[in-house]
Amino acid sequence: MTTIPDRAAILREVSSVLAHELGVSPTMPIDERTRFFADLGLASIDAVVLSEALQRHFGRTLPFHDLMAEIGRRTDRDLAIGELVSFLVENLKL
Amino acid sequence: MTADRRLAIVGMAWREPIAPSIFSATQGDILSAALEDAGIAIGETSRIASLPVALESLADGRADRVIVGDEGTALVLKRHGDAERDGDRIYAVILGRLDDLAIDDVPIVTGTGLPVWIRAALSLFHRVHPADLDAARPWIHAGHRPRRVRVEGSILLEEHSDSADGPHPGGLIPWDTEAILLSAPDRESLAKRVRSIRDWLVEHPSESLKDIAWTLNGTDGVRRNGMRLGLVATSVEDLTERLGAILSRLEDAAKPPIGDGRGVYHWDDPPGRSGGLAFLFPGEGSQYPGMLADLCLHFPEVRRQFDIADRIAIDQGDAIRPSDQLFGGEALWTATTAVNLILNAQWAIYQLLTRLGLAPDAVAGHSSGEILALAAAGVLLADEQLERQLGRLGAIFRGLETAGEMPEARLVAIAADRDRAEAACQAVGTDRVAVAIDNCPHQVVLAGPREDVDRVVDHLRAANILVEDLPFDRPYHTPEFATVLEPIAESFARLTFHQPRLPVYSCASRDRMPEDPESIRLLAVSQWTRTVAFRETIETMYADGLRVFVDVGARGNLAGFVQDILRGRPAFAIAANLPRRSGTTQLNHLVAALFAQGIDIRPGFLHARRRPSRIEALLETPARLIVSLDELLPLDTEVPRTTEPLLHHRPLIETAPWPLETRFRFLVEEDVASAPSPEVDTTMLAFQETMRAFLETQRAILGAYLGEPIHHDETNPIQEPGPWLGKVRRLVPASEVESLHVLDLDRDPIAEHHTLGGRKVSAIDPGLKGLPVLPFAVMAEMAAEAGAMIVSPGLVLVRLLQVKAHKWVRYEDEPVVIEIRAWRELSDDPAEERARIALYNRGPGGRSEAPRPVFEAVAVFGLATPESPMAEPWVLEEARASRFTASSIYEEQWLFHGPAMQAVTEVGRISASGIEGKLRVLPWEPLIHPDCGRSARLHTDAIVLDSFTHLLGCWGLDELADRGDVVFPLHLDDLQIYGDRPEVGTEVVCRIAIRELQRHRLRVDVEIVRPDGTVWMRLRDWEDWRFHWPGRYRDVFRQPRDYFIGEEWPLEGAGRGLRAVWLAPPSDMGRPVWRDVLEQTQLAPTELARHLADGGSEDIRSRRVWGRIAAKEAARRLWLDQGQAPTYPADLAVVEATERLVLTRIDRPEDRSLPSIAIADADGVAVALAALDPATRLGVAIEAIADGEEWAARRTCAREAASRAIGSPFVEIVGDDSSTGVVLARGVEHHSSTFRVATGRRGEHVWAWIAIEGAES
Repeated sequence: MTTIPDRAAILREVSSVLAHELGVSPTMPIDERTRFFADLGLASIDAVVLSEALQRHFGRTLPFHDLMAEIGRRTDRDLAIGELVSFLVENLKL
Repeated sequence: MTADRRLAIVGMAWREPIAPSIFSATQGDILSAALEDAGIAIGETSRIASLPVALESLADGRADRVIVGDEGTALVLKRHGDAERDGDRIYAVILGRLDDLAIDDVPIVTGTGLPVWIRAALSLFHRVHPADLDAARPWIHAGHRPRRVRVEGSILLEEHSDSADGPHPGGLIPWDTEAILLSAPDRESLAKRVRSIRDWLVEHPSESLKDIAWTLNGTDGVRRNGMRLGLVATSVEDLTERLGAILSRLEDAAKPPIGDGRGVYHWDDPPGRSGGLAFLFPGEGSQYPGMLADLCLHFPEVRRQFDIADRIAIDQGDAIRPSDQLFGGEALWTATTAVNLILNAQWAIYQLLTRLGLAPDAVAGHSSGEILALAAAGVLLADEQLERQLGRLGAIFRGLETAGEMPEARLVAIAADRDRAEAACQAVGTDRVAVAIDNCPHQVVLAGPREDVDRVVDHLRAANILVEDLPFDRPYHTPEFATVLEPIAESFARLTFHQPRLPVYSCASRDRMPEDPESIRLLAVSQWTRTVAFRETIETMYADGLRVFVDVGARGNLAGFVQDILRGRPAFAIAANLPRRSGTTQLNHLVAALFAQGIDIRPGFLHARRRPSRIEALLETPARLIVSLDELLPLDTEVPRTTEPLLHHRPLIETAPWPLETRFRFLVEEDVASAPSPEVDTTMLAFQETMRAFLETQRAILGAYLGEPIHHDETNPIQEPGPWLGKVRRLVPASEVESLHVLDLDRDPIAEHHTLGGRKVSAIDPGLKGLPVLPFAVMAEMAAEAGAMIVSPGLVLVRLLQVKAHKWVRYEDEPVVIEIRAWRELSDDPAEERARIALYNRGPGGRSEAPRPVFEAVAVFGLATPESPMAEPWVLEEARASRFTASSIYEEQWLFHGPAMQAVTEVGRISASGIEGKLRVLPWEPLIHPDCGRSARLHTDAIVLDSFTHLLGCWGLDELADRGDVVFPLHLDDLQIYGDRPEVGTEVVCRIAIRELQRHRLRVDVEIVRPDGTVWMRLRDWEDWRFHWPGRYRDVFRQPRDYFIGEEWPLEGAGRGLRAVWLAPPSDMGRPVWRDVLEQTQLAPTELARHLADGGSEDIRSRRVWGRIAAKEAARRLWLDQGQAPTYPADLAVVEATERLVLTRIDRPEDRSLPSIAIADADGVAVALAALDPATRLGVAIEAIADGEEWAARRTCAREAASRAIGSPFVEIVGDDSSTGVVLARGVEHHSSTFRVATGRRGEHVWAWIAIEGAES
C-alpha cells in the first residue's frame, strides 16, 4: 500500500529533487510561494528535467503534460511550488 | 506665445530626473519661468537676451544659466531667491524658429497649464509616446528627425538626444532590484565581510539600496579577490535577510555549495575562474511580446537599436515597423519580421553586456543567431548594411510566402533526446520527419510534413513524453528548406565576410568555424538546411575550455539547454534576459552570477544613469582605502586555457544622435572634479612592494583570463603598470591612484635622448649634452599609465583629452621626483571609462612643495580603439620642398633628439598651411629605464607622438624663419587612437595642418596615417608656443661652438688683443627652462655645479650665467681673430682665483695662459671684456641711467671699472672729458696713478671699461 505524503512532506521531497537534479541549494528555504521561473531562475527545460525526476522519485507516471499545458495558457507562465505540491498531492492519490 | 516673436521651444532636457518628484514647487517655478519667458507667459527671472548680453550676465553673476539657441538668441535663467533651491536642476530650453520646423505627424499633448508641459516633457525624456505614458511603452522612432510633441497647438518640444541618450542621470533612479557584489581573499574573511555588512544594514535599514550597491560594487566588485559573492536583493531588508542566511553556509565549509537562483551566487571554486566565457546568440524562438520594453526605458542604447531597425524598415518601404510587432503586434513569429526583431533585440543586449565589460572568449549562434555570433566575432560588420540585408531577406521571405513558395512544415519540440526522437520516427515508419534542432538531452525539435509529424507526436505522447508545438511552419534546418537557400545565399553574398577575431562555433559543423572568410560564408548559408547540433557544439566548446555561457537572447532557452547538456560538470550558464523577470532584475542576476564566477565585470554601468552616492561608512577603510596584502592572494593562474585568447574586441556600433535640424550650443557650468588631497602619507610608502606584488598578480590574472601566458605578450592589450608610472604608493581601486616616478639622470635613457640645447656641446667631453627634459609625449604616456590603473582591466587607451603642459620638467643631478595622481571621472559614454591625471614636480629628492601640476590630461579608455577611418583628404596648396631633410634635422642639430627618438625618415613638402613627412615606428625599449621592465607595453606611442613635433619644428624653422620659428608643445585638446599600433619599422605618414598662427601660439591638427591609408592617430588642436628669439639663440643651441649669442662691442682705441661682448638676452632666456639650457650648454660641468651651489634668486642666477657666457664669447672671439679653432663654451670655465675671475679650460684647469676677463651686468644686460694677455687687468661696469643723469652714471661706472681693474675699492674720480667720454680715475692707495676709463652709452645704459696692460707682470 502506497503512503501518500502530506503537503509538507511533498514540499520537502520537491526541494530534495530540486537540489539533487537541478542543483538548487538555496540559502533560504523554498516554500509554497516560491516560483519556479521568476524566483528560482530556472528555465523551461528544467521543468522537463524536474518532471522526469519527480516521476522517477515517486515511481509513477504523472500527467505533467496537462500541467505544462495549463501553465502555457497563463499570462505569467510561471509555477508556484505550492501548485506543484498540489499537483503531486492530487495525482499521488491515484 | 506671441506671434511676432515667432519662436518655438524645440528642445528640453534636464540634468536631473524628471520623474514626477522633480516637479516640486521650486523646480516647477523654474520650468514655468523658462516657459513663460519663451512667450507662454511673462516671468521676471528669465528673459530673452542677445548672446553678448547673456554671456555678460553669466560672467558677472546676474545669470546662472545661459542657453544659446540658433541665430544668437539666448535664454537667460536666473535662480529664484535662495541659491540652494534647485535652480541648477533645469538644464536647457532651446529656442528655435517655428518657421523651420515641420509639424506633420507630431503627436499632440492636449490639456492646459503646467501638467501639459510636464507630460510632454516626460514623454520626450523617457522616449515614451505621449499616448503610452501610463503603459510605459517605449517610443520607437523611425523618423529622421528627433522626436517631437506639440503642446497647445503650435509649440513644439523636441527631444534633446545629446543629454538624454548619454549616461546622464535619467529619470528612473530606483530599480526593482540591485546587484550586490562582495569579495574577500578567502572564505573566512568573506564571511566576516558579510557579517559586518549585515550588522551595518541592521543599524541602517533606511539607507538607499542603490547607494549600498554602488558603494560595495565600487570596492568589492572591482577587486581580484578569490572569494566572491554576488547577490540580488529587492530591498535593504531583503539584503539583510539574505546576508544573514548565507552566513551559516559560508562559515561552515562542510555545508553544501550554494545554488540559489533567487539571487545568491557563490562558488568556492567557480569554473569561470579558469575557464573561458562564451556568448550564445539564439535564433527564432527567443522572442516574446514586449521583450526588452523595460530595458528601453533604462538604457537608451537598447531603445536606439529598435529605432534603427524601424528606420531601416521604413526606408525599405516596409509598411510594418518591427517595433509594432514587438510591442503589441501579431506578426512576432512571422518569417518576415522575426529574424530582424530577434537580431536587433540580441544586438541591443549584446551592447549592454559589452558595456558591462564582458568580453567573450568565443561565440556561437543557434540557427539565425549565428549571424550575430559572426558579427560579435568581427566576421560581419554589424552595420546598416547587415541590417538592410536582413530586412531584404525578410522581404524575400514575405514574397515567397505570398507566392506560396515558402515550404511548410510542422515543428514540434520533443522532451526527449535525439535517439529517442529518431526512434519514434522510425517506429511510425516515416523518413520525412527530421531532427531540425538537437538542443539538449531533454529537447529536440522535429520538422516535417504535418501528417507525418502528427503520427510521431501521437507515438511520443503515448509514451508520456512532453511535446510542444512550435509557432513556426517553416522547415528550418532540414533539407526541405533548400528551396529558400538561394535568396539566403544571395543576401549573404552581398555581405563582406572577414576573418574572425575570436573563435566562432558552428552548430552545423559542431566545431569551430574555419578562419577563411569564404569558407565561413558557405558554412553560414548551408546551416539553414542542416541540423542545429547545439548539444554537440556545446560539448565541443566545453572540451575547448569554455565554462561560462551567457545566453544573449531574450528568453534564456539556450542557458537552460547548456545547463542540461553539461549537468554535473563544472560549468555555468545564465540568461541575459528572461520573460518572467524584469529586464533590470535579470541583468542584476547576470552581473551577480558572473562576478561570483570570477569573471571581471564593470558593475558601475548599472548605476551610470542613476546618480548613486557613495556611503563612506560601508568602505572598509573609508576614503583612504589601501589594498592590503591579504587581498592580494593570487587566484589560480596555473590552469591552462584551451581556448584561443581574446585578441581584440570589436567596437560597439554607435549610431549618431538624431540629426538636429537646428544646431544648438549649450553653455553649462562644468562640474569641477576636486583634486585629491596633496598630503603625502609617507607611511604608505611601506606598501610599495605590496603594491608591486598586487600589480604583478593582477597582470598575471588578466593574462590567464585572456588565455595568455603569464609572461608579457606584446599582443595582449591589457593594462599593466607602465614603465613610467613609477612606484604606486596609494591605490583605491577604480577610484584613485598616486605614484612616484623618479627621474634618474644617470640611467634613464630619456636623459640621454631628449636633451634641449643639442647633443654636441663639448669637444673635450663628447658625452656632455644639452639639458635632459621630460618630453611632452612621455608625460602624456605617464598620464595614460596612471589612468589605466584605475579603470577596468582589459580596457585600452582610446583618447587623451585636455592635455596641458604647464612647466618643463628637467632632470637634475639629484633624482627628481614626479608625483602622479589620477582619479576617476564620470564618463559621458557608458562604453568608456575616464581618468583625470595630474603630474606634480616634487623636485630633487622630492623635497619641494608642488601645489600646482606641471602636466594634466584626461585619459579615456574603452574596450578597444575604434576602427581606423580612412585619412581625411589632404591637399597642400602651393607646397614646396622643405629646406630640411630627415638627416639634416638631426645631424645639423636643428633638433636635439637622440637616436632612439629620431623617427623622422622623410621631410616632405611644406607650405604655409602645413607640412607632411614620414615617421618610422621605433621600438620603445631603448627609451625605457632598465629597472622598469624593458618589455613593457605603452598605451600611447610616445616616440611617434614626439616625432611629429620634429616635423612641426621643421615647419616653424622653414616657414617662420627668424620670426618666432622655434615652437614647443603646450597643449593638446584631443588625441584619438584608432586600431592597433603598426609593427615596429613601419613607416607612417604624418600630415600636419596649420589651423591658426598667432604671435605666440601655433595651433595644428595632425593625422598619423598607416601605409594602407587608414588613420592611426588623430590630434586635434595641438598648440605650440612660439618663441620669438633672434636667430642666433636658435643656432647657439644647435651649434654652441660656432655661434655666439652676444654682440661684439667695439672698443674704441683698443688693440687686437682686447674684445668686449654685449649680451642682452630676450626675456625667455631669463626663465627656466631656457636659462637652464644655457647653463647646461654654456657652462663647464664643474662651473655649473659651482654656479648652482652659489644659489641666489632666479634673477641673480640668470645674470651670473649671462656674464660668464659673455666673457667666454669675448675670449672665443679673440681666439678666432687669432686664427684658432672654434671652442665650445662648455669646455671653458670661469673660476674665481684670488679675488679675480679667470678663464680656464676644463682639461687644463691650472693653465693660466688663457685670456684675462672681466664681467659686469645690470638690468638684464651683461658685458664682458677679454684680453689675450692674461696679465692684463681689466675692469668693466654697466649701469642703467637713472633720472637722466647720464654723466653721473658714467662716473659711477668708471669708478667701479677702475676699482675692479686695480683690485681696490678705493678709487676716486678726478676728472672727465665729455667730448671723448673718458673719465679720469685714481686709486687712492696708488697716489700717483691716474687711469683713463673709457665710458659710453648704449640705449638706456652707460658703461665703462679699462684695461691695464702688463700690470702684474
